[in-house]
Amino acid sequence: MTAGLHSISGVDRLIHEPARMMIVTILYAVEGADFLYLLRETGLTKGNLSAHLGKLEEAGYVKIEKIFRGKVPQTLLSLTPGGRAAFETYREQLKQIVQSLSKE
Amino acid sequence: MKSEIDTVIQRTQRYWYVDGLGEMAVGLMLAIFGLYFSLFPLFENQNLGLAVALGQPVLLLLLWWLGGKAVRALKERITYPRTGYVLVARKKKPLSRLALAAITAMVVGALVGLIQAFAAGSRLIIPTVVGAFLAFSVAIIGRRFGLARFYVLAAYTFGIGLLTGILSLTETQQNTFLFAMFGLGWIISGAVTFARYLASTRPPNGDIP
Repeated sequence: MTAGLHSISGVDRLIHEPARMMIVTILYAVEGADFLYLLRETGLTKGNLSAHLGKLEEAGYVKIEKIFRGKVPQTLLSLTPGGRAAFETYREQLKQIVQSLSKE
Repeated sequence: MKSEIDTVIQRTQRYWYVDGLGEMAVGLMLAIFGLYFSLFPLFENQNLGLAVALGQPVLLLLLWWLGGKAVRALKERITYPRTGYVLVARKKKPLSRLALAAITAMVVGALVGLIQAFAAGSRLIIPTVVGAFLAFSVAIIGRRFGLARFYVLAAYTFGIGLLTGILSLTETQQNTFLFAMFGLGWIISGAVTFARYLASTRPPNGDIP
């Protein structure tokens, strides 16, 4: 196994799943987003999105808050500091993998 | 090369511009600012004239503040129920937005001052420089957020600056025309974006958690 391929096994598998990577990437770009925004951007179904968010929350990567904006109830989602750090590590690992594969 | 992750991050960060409401507010602000110049000749009394001139930065800050409030209120009613709410990442320093507004007011004020100081000798150059400066700023926003329409707006802004210099206008007319036309461009760009946004989005069916 090449070094590039070997390092793939070290990436965070929780984030590496495409739908969750999309969710984490979106949340990384902002301070927070609501359920509707994530639903539209990811193209997932409500159930699927909820399931992925549940896993990310369980891992301590995502904070889920039920809030009221004015009179409107809302689910606000944001990355925790741990989630942000995990995504940065994951992103850095991906870059290194791509670089090492392009050298080989 | 931009990765898929970079693309998603950029798309999320430009969500503020998705509906064109911010552009319309900036356009309205620039148009009012331009029209304010047309008040100058009405005040022959020097003290009153000076007060009107000194009121310009205050007006700009007031319009900025009011515009921000109006845009946020409209987004609450129109945008967020359709395509969701995003809490944009804020810089840690709480004064950064106010500082940005003050710096913008000062830069625009300085540019206007330059126009007034050199208008007699450099009627072509000064509006062109103002247009080029603003066009450059708009192009930076376009590049930062990947917004193609901002490049068109930048070209328009530069063109208006050049046109203002070419037309034989008095100093007041020049200032009024320059900023009113800048504003008009922003309003049109925002209105087209808003119409397209409304046509392409619908509030979701059913309950959203």
